[in-house]
Amino acid sequence: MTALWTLAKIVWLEMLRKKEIYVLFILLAALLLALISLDVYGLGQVTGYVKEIGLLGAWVLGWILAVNTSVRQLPQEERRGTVFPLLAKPVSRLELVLGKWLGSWTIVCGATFCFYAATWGVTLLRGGTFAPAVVVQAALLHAAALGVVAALGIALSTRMNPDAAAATAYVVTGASFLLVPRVPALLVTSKGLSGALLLVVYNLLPHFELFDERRRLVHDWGPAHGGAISGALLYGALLTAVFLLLAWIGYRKKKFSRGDIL
Amino acid sequence: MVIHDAVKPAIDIQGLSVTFPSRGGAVRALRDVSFSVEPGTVFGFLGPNGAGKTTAIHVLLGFLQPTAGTATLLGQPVSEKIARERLGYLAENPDTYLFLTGRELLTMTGRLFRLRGAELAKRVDRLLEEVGLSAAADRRIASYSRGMRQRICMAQSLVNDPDLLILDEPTGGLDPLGRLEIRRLIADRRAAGKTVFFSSHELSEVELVCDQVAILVRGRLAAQGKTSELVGSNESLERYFINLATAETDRKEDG
Amino acid sequence: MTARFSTNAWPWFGVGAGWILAASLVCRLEAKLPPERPDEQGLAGLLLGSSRHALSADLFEKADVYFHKGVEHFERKAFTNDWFQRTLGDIAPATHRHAEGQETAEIIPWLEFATRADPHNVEAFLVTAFWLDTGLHRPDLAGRVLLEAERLNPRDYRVLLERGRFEIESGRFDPAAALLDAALSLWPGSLDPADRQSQLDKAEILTYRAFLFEFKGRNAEAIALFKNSLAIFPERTYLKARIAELEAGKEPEQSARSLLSRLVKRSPDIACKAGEEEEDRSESD
Repeated sequence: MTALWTLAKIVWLEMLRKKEIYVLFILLAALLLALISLDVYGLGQVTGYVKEIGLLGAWVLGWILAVNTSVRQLPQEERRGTVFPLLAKPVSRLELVLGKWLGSWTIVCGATFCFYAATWGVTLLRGGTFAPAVVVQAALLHAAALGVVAALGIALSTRMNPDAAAATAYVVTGASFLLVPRVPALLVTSKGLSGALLLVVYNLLPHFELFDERRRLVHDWGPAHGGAISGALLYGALLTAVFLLLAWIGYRKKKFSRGDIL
Repeated sequence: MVIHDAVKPAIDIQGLSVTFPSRGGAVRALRDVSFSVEPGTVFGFLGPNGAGKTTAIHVLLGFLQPTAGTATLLGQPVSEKIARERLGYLAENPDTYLFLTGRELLTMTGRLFRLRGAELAKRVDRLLEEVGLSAAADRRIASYSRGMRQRICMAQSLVNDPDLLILDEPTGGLDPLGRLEIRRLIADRRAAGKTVFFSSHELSEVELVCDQVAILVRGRLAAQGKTSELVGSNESLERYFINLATAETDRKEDG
Repeated sequence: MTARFSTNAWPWFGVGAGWILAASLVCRLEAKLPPERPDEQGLAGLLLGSSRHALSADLFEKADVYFHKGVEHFERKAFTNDWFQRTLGDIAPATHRHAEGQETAEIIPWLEFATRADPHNVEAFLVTAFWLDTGLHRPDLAGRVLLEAERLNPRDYRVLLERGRFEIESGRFDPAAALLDAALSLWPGSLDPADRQSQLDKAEILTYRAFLFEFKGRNAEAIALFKNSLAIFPERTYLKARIAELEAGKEPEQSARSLLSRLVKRSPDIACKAGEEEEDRSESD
């Protein structure tokens, strides 16, 4: 475990010191400031849209950060040549994969929770509320989703270069977000080959809609049933484990190029 | 205290072959290479560019699977973690995490060896002083000169006080003072009973520090033995090496 | 950084999948677009082009979702009993509820966004005015919205009809009459005259205008308009009775004012399509 956390800490320091993460904060702050200044017909205390747009921003920015961070980790080590001294230490390739995932996941979760806090702050300024129990549930589920995305990015990066891995990750996760929840409705009218393809997509791609509790937060519903939340978290853990297993399978016999070293 | 198995060599390579598939036909990077490194010695691993030195080192460190043959480190198969606990490695043209400070790099490395607390902090301070980077310890490595980066990477390879130190071109790109520094470090390690295995093009350096050398040409072990014995009637190790490499090349062309 | 091109199949799969996804989304958007109309560009038009209509429609739907407290309209599904659907049913809110009182203020921003995205989404303007008036009791803001709607859609009879209704509610019958006459002259505009809603609107215009004629004692004109309205919806027996009373010269049982004020009045407790669907669903279950 020490090796995992040490590797994770290297990821955190890189993200924080390279200041890329701050760009996203600035974007979200700009967005939220715009929302604060928006006055719809002088109606005060209208906060639903602030919550909705702020949380959408948190999801989109967290998604981008998770993909971009995770796909670069392993290729970067190889390109820099730092993978060699790293694996010359008592660090296995599995630990390297897990450590990079852990670092990517935790830093992205941290950034995302900051986005949540910013949205919460603006909502409170406008006189709105966020139910704490629902926030905790939503944050846990969102973290699970980010874990899956980060694991997918790591897995893809063991097979292809970072740009291709990022593109593929965006397509897969985008389709999962947009298409998978609609498949049961689409299947009412889609038969034959298209129906079969939709079923394959439905069963193969991750179901990110299970991790999305924004509607409860925005519309002030109470917390969801604990059993359902636990089930969703378990599903997320399982998906993450599958992707990390695929990552390890792709990485354990990988022959490293010498990257930029001659 | 140095742990030696009095019988087992620090490095033992037997019948090692590595073949890479390629579009133009298979590339045989190593051909049936066998040699041993006795513990407590400084062993030079020489060869022209492309001879297969780094390939052999990568096999030793478990980065590559050999096509044939075996390799052990400190009596353990190369894949065993326990072997790497006692191993230090400096890569050729080393690079590292430029966003870390020198102190952070050594501390992170120490944690990978499960060192912690005051012991780790003390060891880091000592290493920084040994490589002459105490003043720059809390600056980002990105601000270091090439020589400083080489030294911090050298320090990184020494964090766990390894019994076996593998150095791939440790003096590459260094000025004379830098090379002197490396020679001193190697000498200190030998004095402490450690084993040093390093590859180099700087034959004058090798002649000064190495007890034994092995010379690789075109993936084949062309010569091995004590430095003094190999030099023999040649003026220098460099002259011996040139003669050997030329002879091997001629043999290949004729054959 | 060195650029490397990977020769394995994965990147091509990613590119291919990306194209398929983009093509599917384009087809979906195309299916949602209304017929093109000449219009002002505005910022949304400049940035988005024709897709602003789809964006406006999406934002309008979002307002409806907000009205239903985050619950989307019932959609028929091929299956609902797998683990994913069951778990989603527990996580996402599913109870059919309406926003009430001050809660209805939450839908206003989305309606506002819908009108900004497409200034010719007249329905969005009308619904905004409705909720400002009946939900939040701000007829002043509702009037402002309708004026803006008229400015941007001067030839759309629906805005004039709605303004006329507001004037009637406020007791300003002469302006109401002028607005209703203008609405009738512009009907049906770009909408399908055979469409049920268009027919309802026309009948409404005729009925309101007829009552306003009756206030002025111009019964002949009132009778003519009542008959035109009855021709559209012959089942409206109250109109038949009123025509008969006016033709007989009798004082109608119900005064024109009370009947008209009842007709123009609307309540937030309107039938909700989603509620009807849920009842249908539970009946079929």
